[in-house]
Amino acid sequence: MTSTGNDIVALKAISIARTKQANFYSRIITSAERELYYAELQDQLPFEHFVWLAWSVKESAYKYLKRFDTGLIFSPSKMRIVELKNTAGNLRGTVLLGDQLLYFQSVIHNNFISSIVNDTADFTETYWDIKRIDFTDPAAQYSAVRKLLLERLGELFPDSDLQIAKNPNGWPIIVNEDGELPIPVSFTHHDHFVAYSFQLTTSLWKAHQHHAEVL
Amino acid sequence: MTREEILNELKGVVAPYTANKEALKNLNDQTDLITDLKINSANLVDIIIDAEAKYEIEIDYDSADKMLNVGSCIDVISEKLNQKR
Repeated sequence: MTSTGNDIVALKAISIARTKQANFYSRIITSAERELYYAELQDQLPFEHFVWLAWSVKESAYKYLKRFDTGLIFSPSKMRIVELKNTAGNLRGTVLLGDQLLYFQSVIHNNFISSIVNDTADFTETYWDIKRIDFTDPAAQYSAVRKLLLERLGELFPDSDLQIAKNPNGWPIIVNEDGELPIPVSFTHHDHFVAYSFQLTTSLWKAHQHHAEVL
Repeated sequence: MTREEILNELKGVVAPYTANKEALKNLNDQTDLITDLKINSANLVDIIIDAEAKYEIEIDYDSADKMLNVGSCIDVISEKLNQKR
C-alpha cells in the first residue's frame, strides 16, 4: 500500500512576528531542528520560513502516515527533520516520527512554502502541482484544488471518467465506474494557494494505457 | 468557570480564524475546528497561544494535540484553569 501527503503555507497569511516568538515556534520545531537551522540554513532562509517549512513537512508526513494509522494525531513537536539540503530553493531531506523515516521535497517561493513526502528518496512516481486562486473562501479552495487534480488526471487518463470522492475515513480518493483506484491523493490549501499530490506507479499507468489500447 | 462560560468565550478566541460565521454561532462540543469551522490547520497553534494568553494558563504539547474540537478545547482549558487554583 502506498500513500501520499502534501501541505502548503501561504506566507502572506502567516504572522512573521508571532512565528518568531519562542512559545509559538517551539510548538512546531524541536531544539534539535533549531540547531540544524542555525548550523546549515540561517544564511539562506529567514528563521520564520524555516518554521513554516518544518510545519509543511510535518503536516505532509502526518497526512502520509495517517492513511496507515487512522488514529494518528498531528503533533509537530514529536516529529523531527533529520536532514535538510537546499539547492537553489529546492529542499530535500528526511523527517522522523518514532522509527518511521520519510523523505520530503519542498519548494520555497516568495509567496508560499509547499512540501510533499514519500517513503523513498525517489519522487519520480509522485505527481504534484500548486495553483494560485483568486478567492480564499473554503468553497473556492475546495473546488479549485479538485479541478486542478482532475485536469492533470485527464491528461494522464484521457479515456477515463475519473472522479474524486471521499472514503469513510474522510480522505479523498480517485474513483472510476469500477470503484476506487489505487492512486492515493492529498489536498492542501491556504489563503490564495491550493495544491495536490498523488502517487501513481508506472506499472499502474502502463496497465491502464494498455487497457485503453485494447479497448 | 462553567463549560458554558468557556464555550462562549471560546467563540471570541476562534473567531479571527474562521470565515464560517454560521458554524461559529452554533458552536457546540462536537464542532470540529478544521472540518466544521474551516479553520486552516496552520492557525491551530495561534488558537492555543491565544487561549493561553486569555486564560493565563500553560497548555502543554500533549494537551494541545487534543484540541481539535470545541469539546476537547473546553476540557483542556477547564483542566488548566482548575490546576491554577
